[in-house]
Amino acid sequence: MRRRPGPPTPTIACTLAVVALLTGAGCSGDRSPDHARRPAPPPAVATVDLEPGPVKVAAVKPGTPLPPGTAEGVMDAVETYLVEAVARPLSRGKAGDLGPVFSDPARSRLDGPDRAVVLDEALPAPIRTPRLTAQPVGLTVLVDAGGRPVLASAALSVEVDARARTGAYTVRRLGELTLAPGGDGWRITGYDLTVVRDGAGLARTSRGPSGSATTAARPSGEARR
Amino acid sequence: MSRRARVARRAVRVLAAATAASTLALAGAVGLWLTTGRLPVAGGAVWFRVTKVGEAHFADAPDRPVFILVVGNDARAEVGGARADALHVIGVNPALGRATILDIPRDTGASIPGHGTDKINTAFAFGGLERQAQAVGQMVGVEITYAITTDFAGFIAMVDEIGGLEVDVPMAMDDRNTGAVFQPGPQHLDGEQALAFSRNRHDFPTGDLQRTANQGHLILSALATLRARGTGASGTLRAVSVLARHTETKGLGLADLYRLGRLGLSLDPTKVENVVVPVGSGQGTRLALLPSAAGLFADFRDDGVLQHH
Repeated sequence: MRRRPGPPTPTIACTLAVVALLTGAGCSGDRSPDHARRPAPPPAVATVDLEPGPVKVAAVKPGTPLPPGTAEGVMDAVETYLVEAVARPLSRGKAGDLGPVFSDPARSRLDGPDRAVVLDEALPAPIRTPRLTAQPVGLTVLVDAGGRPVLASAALSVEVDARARTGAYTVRRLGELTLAPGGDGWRITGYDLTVVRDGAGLARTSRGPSGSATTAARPSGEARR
Repeated sequence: MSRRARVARRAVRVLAAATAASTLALAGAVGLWLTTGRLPVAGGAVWFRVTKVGEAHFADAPDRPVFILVVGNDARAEVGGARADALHVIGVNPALGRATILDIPRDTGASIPGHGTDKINTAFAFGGLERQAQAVGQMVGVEITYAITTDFAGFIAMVDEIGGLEVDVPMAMDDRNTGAVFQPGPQHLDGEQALAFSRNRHDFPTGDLQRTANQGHLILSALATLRARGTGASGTLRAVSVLARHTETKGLGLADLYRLGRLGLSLDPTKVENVVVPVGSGQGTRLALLPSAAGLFADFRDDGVLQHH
């Protein structure tokens, strides 16, 4: 059988090679001094889409129903936390506005060592939008004798997968948030969180509070007042 | 075309294709390197792994020593004029993670604000929980920040709702008055049994002194039982709802009760001392504080922890 007429194989290979070289040349253009001074825009902030889990009512008067909108309000606050304290700092380097997220005492607490556990700042910059997945959030709401919600706890199990120039890494956050109604919605007044950051991508941070590299694992332990 | 020429042409094609493929791969690698600053030598293999682990806990609980009065009152439908049958001041030192339970014999003579000297437990009948807190605070020399009381029915219901208590009964008991019939050793007590254990005084030569020590022991058993069921936020919220159902509180709301609960549940029962205030015979049926009580109170009041007793 005769081959159909067409470009000879070397021609195809050469064309591909030229295209590849041109692609490489295009990339090499990014390394020009002008482009080095203008870093690529950061990837989009990961979207947070939480599923509500079981809602338990711890009522002082047994049988008291949960006031309408309570679970939704708590879920909104948890979602805001994940956006402002996890997703945004991961992509932008710094946390968003934490004022509406935490109560004043809890926010003050974040000036200390708890910050590295509660927030995802100063991690290697992702080169594409990280992926955030969460287990359904179980809620327990304390309701007083008058039927008013006083406190709530939210069980968190969240994983973020990111890829930086240094490689891929994962952030797993597990624990409970305590929330109370305040201002326009619910705010976090306490937390019991464990964070595990794992992966080759954490070998060297590309940014940090002082620009220093972080390679050592933070020893496991409790940050207590 | 001769065979030799065909072979030569095929060799040229193969060589050209191989060259092109190599160039393609090299160009891709160069492009990737220029883009990411890394050569793809790892090719998906994990060359090293770094793990950062951290924990953080914050419950907005008190961070300074706090003194809490716990009162078991004997209010019953058939008996009027409730008195404080059980009186305990708990000093908690959050920084040290330690605490002390001072067990106050109910017949201890003390100054009752507005009522002269009387048995300290009469303050409850005179002015409720607030007056009782004043009298105890004055005697011990501490500022009682929070006071909490429950009666017989509330105590039984509370213990039953949390599923009973695991108590290591320190001695054999056989008291028909209270129904306290126990062999020594660890056992599960329901609400009725826990109440009987805490009220029994007839089985002991030291009567009410041993009873009040047993009540402190019961508080520690409750702490251990609750800790075994979880000390997290959701478990504490549930425990607080049960506690609030059966107690009267002064100076604290549900959120405070939660914070105190978190503080209490953070304590290892082995780091909580249970001490009976030293008393001897006094005027009439009242007991008098022994001289050593002054040193005990001084030791207790500075930080809620006993260093020398």
